[in-house]
Amino acid sequence: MKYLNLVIGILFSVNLIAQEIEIIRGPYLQSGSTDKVTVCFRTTEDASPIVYYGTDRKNLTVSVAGTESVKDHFIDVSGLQPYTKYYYEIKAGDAVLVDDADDLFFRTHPTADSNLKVHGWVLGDCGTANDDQRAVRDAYYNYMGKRATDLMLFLGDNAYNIGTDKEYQKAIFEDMYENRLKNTIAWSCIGNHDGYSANSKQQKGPYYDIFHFPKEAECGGIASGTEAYYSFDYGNVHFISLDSHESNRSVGGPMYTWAENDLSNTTAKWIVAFWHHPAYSMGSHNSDKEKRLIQMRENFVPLMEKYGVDVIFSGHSHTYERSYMLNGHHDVSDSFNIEKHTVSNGNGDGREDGDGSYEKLAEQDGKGMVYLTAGSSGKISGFEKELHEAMFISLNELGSCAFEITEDRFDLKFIDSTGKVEDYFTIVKQ
Amino acid sequence: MQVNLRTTSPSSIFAAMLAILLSALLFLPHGDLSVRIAEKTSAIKSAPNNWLLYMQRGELYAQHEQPDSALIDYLFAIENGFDSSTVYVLKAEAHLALNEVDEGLKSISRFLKMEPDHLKGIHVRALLFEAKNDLDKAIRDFEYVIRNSESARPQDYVELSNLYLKRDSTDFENASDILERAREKLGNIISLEMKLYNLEKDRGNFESAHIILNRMMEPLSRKERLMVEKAELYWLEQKPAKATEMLIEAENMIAVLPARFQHIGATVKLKQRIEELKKQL
Repeated sequence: MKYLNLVIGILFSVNLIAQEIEIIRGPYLQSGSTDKVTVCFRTTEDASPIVYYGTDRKNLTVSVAGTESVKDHFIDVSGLQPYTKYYYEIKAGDAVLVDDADDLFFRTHPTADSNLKVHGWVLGDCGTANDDQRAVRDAYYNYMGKRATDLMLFLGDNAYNIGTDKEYQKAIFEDMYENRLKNTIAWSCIGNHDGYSANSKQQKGPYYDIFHFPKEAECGGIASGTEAYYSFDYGNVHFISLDSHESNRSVGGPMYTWAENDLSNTTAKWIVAFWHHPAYSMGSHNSDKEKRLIQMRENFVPLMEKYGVDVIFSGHSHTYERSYMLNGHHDVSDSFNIEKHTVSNGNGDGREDGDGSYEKLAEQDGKGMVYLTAGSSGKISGFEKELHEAMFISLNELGSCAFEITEDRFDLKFIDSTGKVEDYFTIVKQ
Repeated sequence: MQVNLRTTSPSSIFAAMLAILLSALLFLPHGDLSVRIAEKTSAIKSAPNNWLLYMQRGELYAQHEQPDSALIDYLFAIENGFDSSTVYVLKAEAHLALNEVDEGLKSISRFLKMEPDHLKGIHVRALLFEAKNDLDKAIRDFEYVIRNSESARPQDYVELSNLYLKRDSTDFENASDILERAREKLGNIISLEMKLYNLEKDRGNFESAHIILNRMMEPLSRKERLMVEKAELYWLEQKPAKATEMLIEAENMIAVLPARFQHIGATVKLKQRIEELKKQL
């Protein structure tokens, strides 16, 4: 009888513990590639949960467990097939923490030769955790309808005011992007507000604790040795994320050396770069006057041009500013000359139904890059007295960017918080 | 925005002032940061002896890249009774930004008395010693920070390597050693490898330079750039036949690149470099 009571007691305790554990952050997906993805989540108590996954939602037979009992879980799921949809669920013992569902899945990246359409969602300076941020989100969800988002790019300042864990919870995970984050791999660059609580030097603090980026070229590109800057491939697109906040921004510095080698090694058809501090802006930050912005323009924009980068996204200014198709403009706004600093038909609006899509031609040395300062996904802060000369359009509107990339065209739309497409352009490549 | 200034009722004056203030805020150069500084300034007017407000505004000024204003606020905070270690490290950083090295060292010394072994404090002191050109002490502090950091970056090792050479331009041994230590910890990171390669090349240690170059090339899918580098190394070694062989290989690699890479600036420059080297050979 004594032993029976003991067994019942133990079973009761185990059951109680299992019942008590809940997921309070995520799941969210990180560091995807053609054969792996990291499933991340936070539990209320230390636990060793198991991720069950499979291509058939009713048959999630393969499993992978975390290696230690912790609250913040980063479980690598590897040995996967390229561009394959895997459903998943998360259990701790017999308790189901996240049950399988139609929208609980991850899709591995396609291979470089696949030429599939890529849908990306770009959010700049989104982290206000308020209804403006939610309105921008909802406008994008409505715009996309049932179409899937393949990847999310956060342009930094993801959680105001100082990027604490608590602020991240409200601005990213709770009543915000959780429905997209559980089935879409998210990437980011560090913003100044993230940098108040995180430290690139030590790679510690909420930004580095929450995100897990590839520093050993696990997702394509070349190993950077740091999560502060890194690259990855998605099909025929190479993405490169730079740290404009805390890393050395000089020509020949470690980030520059890495970026040059990374760019010179890619064979992707499209190259997209993103970092926080805009090279061109007259929004709430002035790229003529502020050190980081000037350094990124003078040092990194020429490097991007040299290697044929197609589009650069930045935030920091809480505006939407979209350039012409530029080349060789590395000085202040006033020095911009539309004839001299645009290439091909880059002096037009880039719209198929307007002046025509921007054409990026091999015989013109593959020159031409469209630059977006898109930091209005959480708030707007107005403009300087003069708008930036290199910008085709400058809007003081809340919104986010949706892009689609196919084999030979890049389409971008800026969707404001009411769902209206306020700007759009296309780049066509031979 | 139209404002009728001829009306004199308090509410219309308030509305006019509000409108002017709003339009001023709209054009503040640093957006929300400027707004937050203005808010703190207003709060300080109501509570001029509140050290916390000075500290908060000082940090905002520092973020705003106005170290002189930040410093004034930190001094006000101290004057008003704030004597936590935090203010001294922030003050030291502001002095560093203003190139007031001796003042900075005094401040960081006070911080480190309160927080011995604090990595950030020691790093700030290293930067101050470097600015003072007291390179022995700067190296000692940078070494300490790297040895005690769980996750130092490639940049930290490269900067320390540069510092060894700044102290003694022939000290390749220490400059290389710190990079080798970085490789052991971080792996074959290109920024470390490239620095190590240049060091070995500069000291005429060509065999090691080739080993590093081969290591860098191995994982690459496009090797043409480093092939030209290898040709230059052979040229320095006065091995023209091998240099020519490498240039031809690089040309062949460029020839099979997709059309979009044939004409980009980087490839055009690489082709020019190949032609220059061919002429020199």
